[in-house]
Amino acid sequence: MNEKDDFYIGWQDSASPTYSKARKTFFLLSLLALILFAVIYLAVEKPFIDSYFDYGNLTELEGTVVEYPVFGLQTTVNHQQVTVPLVGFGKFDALPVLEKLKTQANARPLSKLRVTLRGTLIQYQEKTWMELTEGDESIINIETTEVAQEAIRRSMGEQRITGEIVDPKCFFGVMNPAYKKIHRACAVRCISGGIPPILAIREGGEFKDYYFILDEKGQPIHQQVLPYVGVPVSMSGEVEEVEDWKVLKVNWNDRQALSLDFSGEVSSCELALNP
Amino acid sequence: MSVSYTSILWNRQKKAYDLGILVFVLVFSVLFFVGHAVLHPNATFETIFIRNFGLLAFLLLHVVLIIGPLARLNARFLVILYNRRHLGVTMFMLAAVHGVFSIMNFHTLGDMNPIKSVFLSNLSYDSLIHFPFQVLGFLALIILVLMATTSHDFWLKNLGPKVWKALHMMVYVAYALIILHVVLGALQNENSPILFGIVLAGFLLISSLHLLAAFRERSIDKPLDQATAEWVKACQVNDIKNDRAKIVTVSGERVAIFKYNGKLSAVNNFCRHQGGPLGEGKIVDGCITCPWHGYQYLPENGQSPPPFTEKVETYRLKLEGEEVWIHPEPLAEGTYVKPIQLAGS
Repeated sequence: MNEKDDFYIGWQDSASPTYSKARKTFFLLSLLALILFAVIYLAVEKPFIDSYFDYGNLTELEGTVVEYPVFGLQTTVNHQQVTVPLVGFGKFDALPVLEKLKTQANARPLSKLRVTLRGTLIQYQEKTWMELTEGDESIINIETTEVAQEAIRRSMGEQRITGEIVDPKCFFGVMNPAYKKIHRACAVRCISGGIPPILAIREGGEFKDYYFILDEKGQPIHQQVLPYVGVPVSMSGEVEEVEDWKVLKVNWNDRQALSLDFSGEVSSCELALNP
Repeated sequence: MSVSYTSILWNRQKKAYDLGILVFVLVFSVLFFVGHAVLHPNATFETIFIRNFGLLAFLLLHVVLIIGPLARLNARFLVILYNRRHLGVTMFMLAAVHGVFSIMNFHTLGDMNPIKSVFLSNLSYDSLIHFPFQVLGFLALIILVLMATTSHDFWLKNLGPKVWKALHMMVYVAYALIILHVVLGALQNENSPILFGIVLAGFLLISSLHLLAAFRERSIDKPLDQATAEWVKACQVNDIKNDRAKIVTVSGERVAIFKYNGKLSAVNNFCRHQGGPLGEGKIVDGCITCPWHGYQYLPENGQSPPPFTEKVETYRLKLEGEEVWIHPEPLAEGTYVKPIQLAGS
């Protein structure tokens, strides 16, 4: 049978050499294209930040519970005195654990309690967070001390800061990458669920600084920030240093205090996001 | 062809085809995971998993979409077309893994129903740059679900070839949604001109192959002269090769005029299985055999040989010297028409 008269029938057990060759050629060329694409993709893919989530391992930390700027534990990590903010399992805060701690404290001030909590560590750069994975079961021990541990607070005055609002649980290690548009929906869910919003500041393509976002009275805010999550944003307010963290207190009724900032990101004509 | 419905009628060719798909998926996945372990050790497993399955589905969708026009342009590619459904279902499963795992990762364990969250977490529907790209992927996945679940011949038979075909043409809507999903999601995040160029090249490849195939088909669809006349001149006898057909268009329908065993018969060109072009088929064992999936019809009555039940319309022919004339009015599906006996046969 000449090649032109050759005919392919798929339900037959075998194909003629002409068609077998065509199938092999198509398969090999497709495979080659696939491998080439994978290599190119891996070569040009954006690098990932060096964050870490100690998934599957529970760690015990001992320290003093703080409620400001967020629920956390003043403790020692890698020989350094730090505040480890605490978050709950999934996309929720850990406030039920705080409530249980208060109940168990029997009206004693939290600053006079020495508490051991167990959870999963989340780490990026010098910052450590902990997920109280086991909920109420995360409280391992509570002891009373005579000396109250008070946080050192220092006002740094009014400032305008440009950055991106991220959900810190994912950002500091649970997911990677956990910023910009591809993570926006998840970040909205996390912040909506009570995880404190953080303004992450980039310099030269690297994240350098972080601010807890609170309202002008220093109270937590969540729903108000949702439209601004995952996009470049410029915010002004009083900046305060609380131990090893910074806080930005924003007046949400002042429209001047908040604007979307697209410098270096996208054109300013894309201000359609303004809620 | 099969009289009863079975999940898959395996043969050596089908196994070789599916083995090829498996190799495709495994090679990419191994390369992708190992490549990340070496070049991007900080990437989380979830991110690599989501990207691996998303990219694989995207790449396979391109292969699925170029097979059709390639087979129209060169018959050798029919060998890839025959089991395209396996490729399509595999692509759907990869896309489903990508979609379901992404929803689990980004939308579960929160304060809102995960499906509602896909639509309501990012509300920037009025901005192109900030548009919720996950919604586009979700809608594309719904289309792929419909296509994958109706991919079996059971649905083809029950929905009818035209409805089934129309449903499966939705793949182009899915492709458009997926392109936007990729451009407004992953590409925007990666911000790489190289990746953008690759996606654009894929789009241009698919578009140009479809345009080329359509351009070639245009010559077939040119209606014959005097289409309103009772008899219309179709072609010369010598225009038709033995055991092959000449496709002509009469009364808006493509008709395949077959020459076989010194005889001529004409049937509707549209295969009742998936609309394959019968006129590009061949007479095998006395039957018109569709080039797409090997469905067969007897040329004189347009019926599949018993026990099969598919039927196509037949047409009357007459011979004037060396000229083949056709009556433009189709006869009911499966109507016997005495074949024209060629002189000297």
